[in-house]
Amino acid sequence: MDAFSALMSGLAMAATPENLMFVLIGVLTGTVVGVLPGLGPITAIALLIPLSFGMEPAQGLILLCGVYYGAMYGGSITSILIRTPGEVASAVTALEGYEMAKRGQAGAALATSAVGSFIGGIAAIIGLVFFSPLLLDVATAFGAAEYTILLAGALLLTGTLVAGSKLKASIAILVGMVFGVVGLDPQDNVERWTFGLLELNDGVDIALLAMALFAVPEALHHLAMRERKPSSRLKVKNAWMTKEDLRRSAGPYARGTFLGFFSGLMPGLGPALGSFASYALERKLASPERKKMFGHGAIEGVAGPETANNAGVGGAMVPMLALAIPGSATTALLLFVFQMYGLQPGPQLFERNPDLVWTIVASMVIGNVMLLVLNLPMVRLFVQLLKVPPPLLYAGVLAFCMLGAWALTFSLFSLVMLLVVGLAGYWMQEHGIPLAPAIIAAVLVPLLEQSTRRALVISNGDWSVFVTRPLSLTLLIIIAAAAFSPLIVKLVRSVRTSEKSVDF
Amino acid sequence: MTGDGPGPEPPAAADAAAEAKAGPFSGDRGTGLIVAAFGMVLLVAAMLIDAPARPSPGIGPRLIPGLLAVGLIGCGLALAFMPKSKSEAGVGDQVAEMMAEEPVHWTSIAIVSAMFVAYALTFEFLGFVLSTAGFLLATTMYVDHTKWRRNLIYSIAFSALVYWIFTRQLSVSLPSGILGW
Repeated sequence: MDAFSALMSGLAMAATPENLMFVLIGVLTGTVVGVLPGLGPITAIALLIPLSFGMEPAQGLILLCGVYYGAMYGGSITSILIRTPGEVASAVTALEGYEMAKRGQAGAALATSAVGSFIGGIAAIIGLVFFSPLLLDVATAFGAAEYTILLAGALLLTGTLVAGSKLKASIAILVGMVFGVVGLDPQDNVERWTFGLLELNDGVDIALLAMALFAVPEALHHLAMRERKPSSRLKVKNAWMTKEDLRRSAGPYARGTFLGFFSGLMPGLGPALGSFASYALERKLASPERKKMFGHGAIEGVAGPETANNAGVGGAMVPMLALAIPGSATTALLLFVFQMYGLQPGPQLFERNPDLVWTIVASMVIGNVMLLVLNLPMVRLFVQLLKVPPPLLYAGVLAFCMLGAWALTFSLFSLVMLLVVGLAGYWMQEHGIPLAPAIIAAVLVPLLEQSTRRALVISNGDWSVFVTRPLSLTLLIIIAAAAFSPLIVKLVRSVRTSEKSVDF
Repeated sequence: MTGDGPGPEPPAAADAAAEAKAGPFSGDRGTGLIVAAFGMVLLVAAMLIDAPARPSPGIGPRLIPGLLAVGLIGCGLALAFMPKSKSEAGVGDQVAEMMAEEPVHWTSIAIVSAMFVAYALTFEFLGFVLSTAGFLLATTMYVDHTKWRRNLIYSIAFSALVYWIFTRQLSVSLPSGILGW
């Protein structure tokens, strides 16, 4: 069965009343959590994992995927109306979206963002349908050595292509890897960094880590700020676009889809890079007259990044489903959810559970349609959520985290772990150490270690296995080029600048 | 801020303000030294990892923990003592400025953290409803004591409703504690 027919049969399975209800609950809950200031998709999923415990795998995953893109959409409402993005990718939308809202065009900005999210989301699913089989064909040729290089490359990319201090990003990755290593050694059954605590033998739970690193620091920060009143928000009348708005947005939608999807495909980067690249591209391509609008509410600066952001979600699902390598922090958490249900993404998942995979993918199509249909008329209702007083909101988030941590093991130990890691996460956040790379690293490092050791056992300890196989060597060259290209570009630029200054 | 992609660091001005308010061990030097010290503890713990009874070819159980610990020490020391490089102004800076958190006074965070610690430690003993209601009331009153009626109703309603949904509707067992239900 080809991918398209598989998607069609997935659509039939996803369209049962029960599954449709889970999609609806997922996208609505995601939008609600995403709208709340400071809370993004990863927090939404981490907080809702306890709800999915008693569900069938397909329903739990449909719900959490719905939460993912619902939260992405909800985040753009907050970015546009109060300039408080819940995650980096929507922060780019806020640059122009908030300026549009200040000029009384909040409705147009929200509609542009909703339509862009829909286009990006649907196009990315089409991309996912056609790219996953290609990647699966490649993946079946992969041995342990190739997986090792790919996983090491994902970690390297997470660290090199981030905004802000590379050193702090490296610290975040190392800290995440430390959490990923704690527990019994997978091959030799030796305790590592458990400090004699039996509860740590199974390692640190990724859901707990996500709550502790994302929800707890954010909630503690807002409570410690003693914010009494909600942020003042700009008013929305109707979320709709004029013909002129549509005309101006058409190009950015197309370019944003392309940029977002392909940046999402790259393991370790996720949708944030696509948003940044799209904004920069739109500013560059704008006519001199429109260029002046950037920074003052250019609709192109909302349409492009928002489309890229959502296309990146679909893009990031491709390596997660086909290779079990997450493209972003949120897909890292989704990978954990698959594993929680006893499912291992990769070629075997497509072979053994094709119905499940395609039902989930099809539910994403339905979810995107639901988001567009519901959110344009309901946007004013969602905006009301911005009125929730901050102390009630953030104290409630901490209570939910505690409940979530308890539900993982039903022991006091989980609560203490949540507390310790949460306070550590707060300290990291306050000192500018980004937390998203830590989650990706925590998920990737056990996979990396297992594949490295498997490759070395097969080669009888011969390290040359990583460079002597043609496929592994090719991957190594591609990853090295991707990781070091920013450095090379920087070097070339500085050489050119110094040459010019010598000429003068 | 939460993030799907890696988060930008706060801009220099925010850093300076944060240093003034954040109390001891603030600033990149303090951060770097704490990270390096954490790496040292992990390195010692990595060296104490038992050797496997039957070693397999390739890497043993100590190598990756050891490398991570050394990496943390190196990055920590580099953060503490290497001069900061200024990045070019661009979209990243604008986003970094937007995502930067306002600095909080460390006594305030200590009070909220203490409430959170007390909540965790009483969760099982007092039970979900009592401990949650107590925590919610304490934190909301700390932030805004003028709205005590609202805070009280919210604390009781939230904890009772969530307990009912999770235990009765979703079959997730929550501690009943001293109330016994």
